[in-house]
Amino acid sequence: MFCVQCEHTITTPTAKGCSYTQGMCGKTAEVSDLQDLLVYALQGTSFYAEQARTFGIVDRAVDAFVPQAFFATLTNVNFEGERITGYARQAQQYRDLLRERYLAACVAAGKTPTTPTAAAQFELAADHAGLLAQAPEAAVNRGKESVDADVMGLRLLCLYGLKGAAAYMEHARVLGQQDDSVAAEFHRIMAWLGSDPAELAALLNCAMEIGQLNYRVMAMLDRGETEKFGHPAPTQVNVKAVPGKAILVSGHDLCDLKLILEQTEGTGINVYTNGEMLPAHGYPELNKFKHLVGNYGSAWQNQQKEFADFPGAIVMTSNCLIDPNVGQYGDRIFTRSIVGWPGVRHIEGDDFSEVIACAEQQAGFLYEEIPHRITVGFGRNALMNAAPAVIEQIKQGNIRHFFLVGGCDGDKSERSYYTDFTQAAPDDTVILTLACGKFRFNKKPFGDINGIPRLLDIGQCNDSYSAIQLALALAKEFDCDINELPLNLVLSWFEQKAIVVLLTLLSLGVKNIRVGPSVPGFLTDNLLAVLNQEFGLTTIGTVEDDLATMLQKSA
Amino acid sequence: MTANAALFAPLICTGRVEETHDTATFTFRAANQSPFAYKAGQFITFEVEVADQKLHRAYSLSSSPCQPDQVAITVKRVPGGKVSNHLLDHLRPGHMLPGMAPAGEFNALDCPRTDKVLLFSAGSGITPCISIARWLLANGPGCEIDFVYSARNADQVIMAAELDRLAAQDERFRLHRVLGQPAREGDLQGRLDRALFDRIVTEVAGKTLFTCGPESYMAAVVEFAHARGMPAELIHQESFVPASANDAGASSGAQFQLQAPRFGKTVTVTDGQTLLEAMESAGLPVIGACRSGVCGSCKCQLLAGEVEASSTATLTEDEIVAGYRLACSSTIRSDLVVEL
Repeated sequence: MFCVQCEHTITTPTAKGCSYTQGMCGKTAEVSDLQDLLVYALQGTSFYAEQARTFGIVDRAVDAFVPQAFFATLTNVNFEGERITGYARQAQQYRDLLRERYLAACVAAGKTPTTPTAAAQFELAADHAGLLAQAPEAAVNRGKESVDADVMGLRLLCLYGLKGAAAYMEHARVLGQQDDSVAAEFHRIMAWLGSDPAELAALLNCAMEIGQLNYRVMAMLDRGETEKFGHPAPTQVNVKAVPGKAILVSGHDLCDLKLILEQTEGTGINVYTNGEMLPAHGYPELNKFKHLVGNYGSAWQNQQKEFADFPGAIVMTSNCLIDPNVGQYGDRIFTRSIVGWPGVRHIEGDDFSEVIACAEQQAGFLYEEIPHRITVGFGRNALMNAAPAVIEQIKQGNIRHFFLVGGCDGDKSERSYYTDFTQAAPDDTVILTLACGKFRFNKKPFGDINGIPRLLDIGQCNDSYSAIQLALALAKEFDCDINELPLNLVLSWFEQKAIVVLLTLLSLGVKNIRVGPSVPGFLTDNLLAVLNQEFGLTTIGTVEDDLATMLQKSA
Repeated sequence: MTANAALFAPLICTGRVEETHDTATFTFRAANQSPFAYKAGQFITFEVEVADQKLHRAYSLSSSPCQPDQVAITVKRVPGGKVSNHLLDHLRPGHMLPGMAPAGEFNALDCPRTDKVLLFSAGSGITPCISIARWLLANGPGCEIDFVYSARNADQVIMAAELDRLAAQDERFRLHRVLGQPAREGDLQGRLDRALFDRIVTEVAGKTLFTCGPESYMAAVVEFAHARGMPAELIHQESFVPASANDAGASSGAQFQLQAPRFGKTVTVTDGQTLLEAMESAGLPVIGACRSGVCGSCKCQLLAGEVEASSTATLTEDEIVAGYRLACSSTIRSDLVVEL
């Protein structure tokens, strides 16, 4: 195996990346190899999806499938070898169908077909042993012996960035949002990456194209969520338990949450959100359910303790899933969509009765804890509505600076930087936050500035779209460039969604972003120097130094 | 940073009575319905989560062990009091709080005692004293109690009706209210001074004194009792005033390193800080319940370095030799390596 896609990949002084029998995430070498084969097969499918488009041949099922299956290889999503193999074989079936249609169209038009890439010509072995034997051919770092380390680093930056975009495309598709031109761009890039490009400038350009693509995907996702569930509004959420049977819904899929709420209504079962599902409370069409009683737990890396303590059924709708056997709750956790863990029940379709039956069998919460309410729901509309008041406070000098502190959480102790940073931020500064990194500080008291809360929870990681809209609106109001605003971005990364959000921000020209807690293992020192030179991108330093530097801007 | 869950049992709040504008009494039952076994004067340590931080505080029980199905604590709002203020703002009947088993050496059974008892308290220090009074009245046929309670004015008298009821029902219970502004006949005016003490305590022979309240109040009461020749073994005082506030050791401003190897932490601390504050700031899972060197919950072991210890009350000689200290009562004076 070789996998270097997440932040806790093995890092030694001489090598970076998980390459032994198991990844740091718990993924076995076998599953990792099968995921590489899947990605390679998908690159072949995308090749023909792109070529077929030249004749107007568009298959929406393929456009849906490729990002979805790619999402299955994201960190902490799917650990089931059989399902990964199934996706890979499906990818080649789709490729074969498209190839057939494309070649027929070429014949009809009298055109010579484009020479397929190696990925497009690749044939999966018929049996499991054969597949594993093929894995080196499909490895994400294939050809590393002869390829420049910077080229390899950029290939991986693009591949992992595109994987993050694919995940958001799948989230958008579930909400009924598909776009042919977005799919076309996705296939073009996916196919190109399958050709093992070797030119640095082209790869760097591709990274920006992926960022731009993802900006459109995040807009689709924003539209899908707000059209389906209404615009998020500031909402108080209890983060403590109430008595009763309980279901915990984790991951990002708001549609699954709604189905569960509908099917548990009147049963007496209470529904709790976990992790990235917290922003659900802000959406009117979800918040209207009285038995959506609160948010339980914190970020994903704590689930082995928190899920173990949760006295009900648990549904994992997307990333991040980690080994449920450690906390011995494998028999009461369920996976959905692309998520999988060996031996854990997987729910297909829209019927959650198995989950409900499981919740009924568990003890549920016996007692009510002292409620602790936090505020969520500062989505795009709420931010825009607050913008005039915010602008007024800036003009009066009551708000000096904004920080966007967000991204993924993880278990490294260095991540205390983010907690310390928000605690050290002066009282006349406002902190915008999103994604699960917020759980390090979102239950702490921040107070307000003349009625404007100092901590504004924008939502999930993809809701960085809302933050960008606010920044653009402020830049317009103050007639300045986004980089001239008294605003600094301090991001935490763990997996590939964060990578693509970063690419989006860079592609929009946002400069001087600080990223932590560590540098992605796939980026070389040269590439970091380029990113620093081009975009002012740096890693986090000490809270004191970073704050002092950032606040100079608004002094 | 969860404290040892096995030490805590769920207690359900069953009632809340507003005693004064800033004080309320909360009653609890055990979630498993089991009766409470405790000695009058003891406290319970609660685990309360405030702003994402698990804090531990000891509250004396104001209830009587004669009624073991429930316990009561009385909480007074204090400036900057994180836990007390949180409970007053949010705790309602039905809510669950994790609590440790009752504990404490300041109690009517373990402290050497005679039948005639002087109970001196002020402010929320009334709680263990009224518990002792209730228990003695029920279990000590020959007991005589002088219950002396100090408050600014009548509105600040905690459990005023209960005190009046006991005084009216039982001639063994004599109530002396010492108020800054007397409200009725019999109230004594002013701060408790030697003259007032002597006026209330006409005879000390054969009497035992228990006192609970602010540090300066207790110091005065103990001084008066000593001056009147009461034997030290019959003078007992409780305290829930943070040791750091009492002893606020002068700080040279020097910076030291505090290491907790088992938790992989090394933090910079300042000369004069209490070890408890430093450990809490570092996010170490220490339980600081009474915060005054009484309960022993913050016991930790020094593997290297030295502290200035103001209390080692609950530690054995062997433990002290082995480096054990009470974090709340230890002032940092050097680099330290500590284990929990």
